[in-house]
Amino acid sequence: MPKVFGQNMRIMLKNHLKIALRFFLRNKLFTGINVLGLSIGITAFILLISYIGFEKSYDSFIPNVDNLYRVTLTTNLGGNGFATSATNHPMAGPAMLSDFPEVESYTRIADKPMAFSGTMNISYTNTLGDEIKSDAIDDYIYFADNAIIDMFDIQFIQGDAATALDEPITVILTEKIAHRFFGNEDPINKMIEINDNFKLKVTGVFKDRPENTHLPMGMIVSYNIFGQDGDHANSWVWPEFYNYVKLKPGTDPKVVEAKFPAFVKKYLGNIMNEHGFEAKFALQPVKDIHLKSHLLKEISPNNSEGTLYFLLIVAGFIIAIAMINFINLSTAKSMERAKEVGLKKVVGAPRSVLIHQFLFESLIINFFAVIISFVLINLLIPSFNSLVGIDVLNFGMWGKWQVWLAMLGIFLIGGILAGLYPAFVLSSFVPIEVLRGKFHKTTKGNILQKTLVVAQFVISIALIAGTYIVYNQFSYMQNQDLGFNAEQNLVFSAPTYADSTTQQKIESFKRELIQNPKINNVALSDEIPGKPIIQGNTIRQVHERRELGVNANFVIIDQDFIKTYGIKRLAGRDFVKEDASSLYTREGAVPSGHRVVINRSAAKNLGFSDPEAAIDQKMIFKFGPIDRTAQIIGVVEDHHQQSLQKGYDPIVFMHFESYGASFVTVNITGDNIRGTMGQIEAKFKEFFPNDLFNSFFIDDYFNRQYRAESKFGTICLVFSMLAIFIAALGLFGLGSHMAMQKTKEISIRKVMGATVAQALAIIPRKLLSLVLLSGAIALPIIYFVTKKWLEKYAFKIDLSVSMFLIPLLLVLVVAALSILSQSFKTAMVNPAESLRNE
Amino acid sequence: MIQIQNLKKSFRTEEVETLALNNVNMNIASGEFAAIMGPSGCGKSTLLNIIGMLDNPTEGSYQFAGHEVGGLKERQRTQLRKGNLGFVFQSFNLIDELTVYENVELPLIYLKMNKAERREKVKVVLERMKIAHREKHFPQQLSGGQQQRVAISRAVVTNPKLILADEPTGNLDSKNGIEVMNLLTELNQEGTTIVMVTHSDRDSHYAHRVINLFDGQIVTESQNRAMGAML
Repeated sequence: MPKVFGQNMRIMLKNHLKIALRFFLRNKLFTGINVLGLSIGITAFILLISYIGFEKSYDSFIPNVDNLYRVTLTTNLGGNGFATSATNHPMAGPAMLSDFPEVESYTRIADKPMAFSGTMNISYTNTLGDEIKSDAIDDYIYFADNAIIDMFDIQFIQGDAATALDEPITVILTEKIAHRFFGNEDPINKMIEINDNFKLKVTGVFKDRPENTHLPMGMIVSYNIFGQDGDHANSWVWPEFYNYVKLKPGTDPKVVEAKFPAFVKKYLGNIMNEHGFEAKFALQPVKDIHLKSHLLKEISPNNSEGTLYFLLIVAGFIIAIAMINFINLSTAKSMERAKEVGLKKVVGAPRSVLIHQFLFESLIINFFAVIISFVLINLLIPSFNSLVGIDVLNFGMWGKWQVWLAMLGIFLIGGILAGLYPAFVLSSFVPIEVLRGKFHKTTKGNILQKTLVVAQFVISIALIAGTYIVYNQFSYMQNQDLGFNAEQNLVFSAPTYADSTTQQKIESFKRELIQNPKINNVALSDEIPGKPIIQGNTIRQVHERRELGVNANFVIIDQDFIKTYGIKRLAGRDFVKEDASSLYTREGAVPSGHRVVINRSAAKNLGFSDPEAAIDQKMIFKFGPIDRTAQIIGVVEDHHQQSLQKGYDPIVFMHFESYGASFVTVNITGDNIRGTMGQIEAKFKEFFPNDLFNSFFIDDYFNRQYRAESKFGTICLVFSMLAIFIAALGLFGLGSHMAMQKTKEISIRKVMGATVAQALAIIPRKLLSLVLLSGAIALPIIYFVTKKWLEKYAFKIDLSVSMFLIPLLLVLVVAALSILSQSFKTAMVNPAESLRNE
Repeated sequence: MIQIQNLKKSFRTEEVETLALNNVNMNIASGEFAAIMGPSGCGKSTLLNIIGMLDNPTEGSYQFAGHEVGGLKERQRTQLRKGNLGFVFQSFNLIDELTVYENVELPLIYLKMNKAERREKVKVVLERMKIAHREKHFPQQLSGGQQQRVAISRAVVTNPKLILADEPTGNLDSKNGIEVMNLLTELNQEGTTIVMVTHSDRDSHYAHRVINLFDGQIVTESQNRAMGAML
């Protein structure tokens, strides 16, 4: 019995395969559309899912990552309500270790500018006497306690991981960076120099870090470079350090968090009382940082879960559209298969066999699609990696069983899901009716087909409208007036401070540059537009109480900065050279006699009714440990310091005598910019032979902030277009079917005197109602989604009617073209042919 | 009204050329009721399609009301057909998605008649065909006889000079068939020329003249004096 069954099965499968292959060959358009659509769908799905998986995997390579937390700080200092920062006071970690038995270890991490303001050049002179120098801009340099090595699983190749950072002024670095400086020499105990005057001893080399971490590391300098106990670096008054703690296994973080209020009171109570603010601590799981954390002073740009959900939806949509195509086309083709089904039933095939047959066909189509997408994925790995900007995929992915499982899952689930409905419809035909030729398509099938088509339209319209609005916002952000002159401003790192003559040298350098007729202005500053301002503190009018101070950012500039950047003056005057004051003299900190220019937001926050009212008024700013008084000499218009996602920063511009510039900005005119740049570089080398010249244009630099956005925008655009393409493919197939169905009606109309155009007009009319219905469903949804999305931008476009009508129109045109191209053939046919009575 | 001389029609498939009509000569006068008979595949429907300007002859001349139709382009044929010709088919060929009213209205729309005028004409013809009470129904909701009355309504609503009927009773039972034939006779008595293809001896007796076609050629023609005797 089993043997017979087995044999039967084989014969049946052979028969199924034979019929399927012949059917595919006879219906090349149908088969082609299905295979192409499904393979693109599967490819896009796998690519997007891999990307999502990669983003979700951040920091999961660290053993015990579940016990790692960052200690965040929430305060209402500065009068703008509570805000949470990723950084905390330097004593937070040590105090937690001593007070909480649940804490196993801590490490504090400080970003580069915390120790080195201004330009940082790293150099090493090797045994041959060659100096290797680098500005180390992309090297991820941090300062940290030795515990970072264990907590973040830094894998040592050379050196002693237990003590490498315990000694003061030591550094550990990655293989890659070690190779850059040391080549084949042994780096251990070698000295590298920062700005030619500060030496660090190399005590360790570690493996390059994986890319999926919120804390990429290149060089780590020992924390005690900041000083010893009792210094600010070990205090409760400098909340600029990232504090990470490792809890003992099995500890509930809530237990620790419950102790925070008393802990904060114990250590920060006095300071809070004195300054009139409140502070709260919280634990943030390290593995959540990349996708869930959007705090002030994040250590590196994070992604958002929302983005991933959006891409997940797009991935689902793409594969759904491809499957809908398959279902629709198969059901549409059912008319042609009816005779085969009827005959098989007459000769005794049970329904189950027929269902098997059609499921089998669906699986074959899916099998072809999976094979093609396997090829496509391999071809697309490099382009996809460059699209998302990270090496998400590599050929090694095929070594993972999960990937094969996913492919198998898509093959089986896709094949069965897409094949089920057509199989049931096809197998349900009643033989008598079919063979008599009195076969009519059921209205039920019609409704399902329409529903599926509407679903495709809804998805297409939503994707196009969403992409279009995202695109509009991005182009708005990039074309908005930034409030400063973004064009032809060349910026380069200011020379490092060498000795007391640096200040004079830079002045002569400036004077010589300005003699070049193609150079309008040269300015020095410690900040440039396009990056968050590091310095900041509270400011207030002199008569205000201390706790009513408001937050402001401090930018140190020279007398040429405001005109170089073309920032508009509103009241008062610009700096002149003589306005420069000293922060410190031999007698100590200078508390008064400073002059500042503030921007409109700062003036408003200080409480001045208009810019004029602020002129010649005194204000108090906190710079370093003490309050200082300054006279406001000018008010300028707000400018966009950061991307348009952020609002205007309140800024206090300061002008000091001591040299502390990080950047030189040169405003260039005329053509042959390249030549002028060459002249500037030559002049720089002449004055500062030991410094590196790295220049960029401020507009490029500013637009770098939009990299994440434009990446997201491009991904959305590419995959939305794929989705739309697959949908159009389906419509094209369906169009040919619809045209076939409408042959009779078109012929009748022609007999009744309709011209070809008039007869064809019936198709768009029907389509129009479907597209309008889809629009009515999709557009309100997309309206709310995009409105919500736009809320995170301080400066945003207004949603207009055209943003919703254009996608609708586009879908209509694509659909009409797909269908009309097919119907046209039908309409040209002699009506006598199609109306013949058989 | 219709003058056909040396008409030939051949169809070409990949391998063979079949001659559907061979050297057909025929005149049909205005006001005449002619039946074309013959076995399956003899070329009846082809001839009717050419007369109905749905198809072009391969050779020979066909004049309709003095106009040579033979070499006309499709657009010109459509122009000439509009309003002059009415068609009745065996399988009715009503549009399923349109109501009775809308089906009948269709040719008037393509004649660019205004709405009020269309309404008037459709009303009159539906009353006359005793189908007015069904004007809001869809074709599938009607019996075969009713559907054919709708089709005839649609054929006559433009007051055509010529009605072409292709086996108009082929899908009907005898009672409904007789009714349809009576309607056609009535129209003919009012002056409409009718050319009908039929298999049915009974139906052919309604015609003034029977043209017998065999293998694409006219073999016999006979006058029916007994016209009306069956009524």
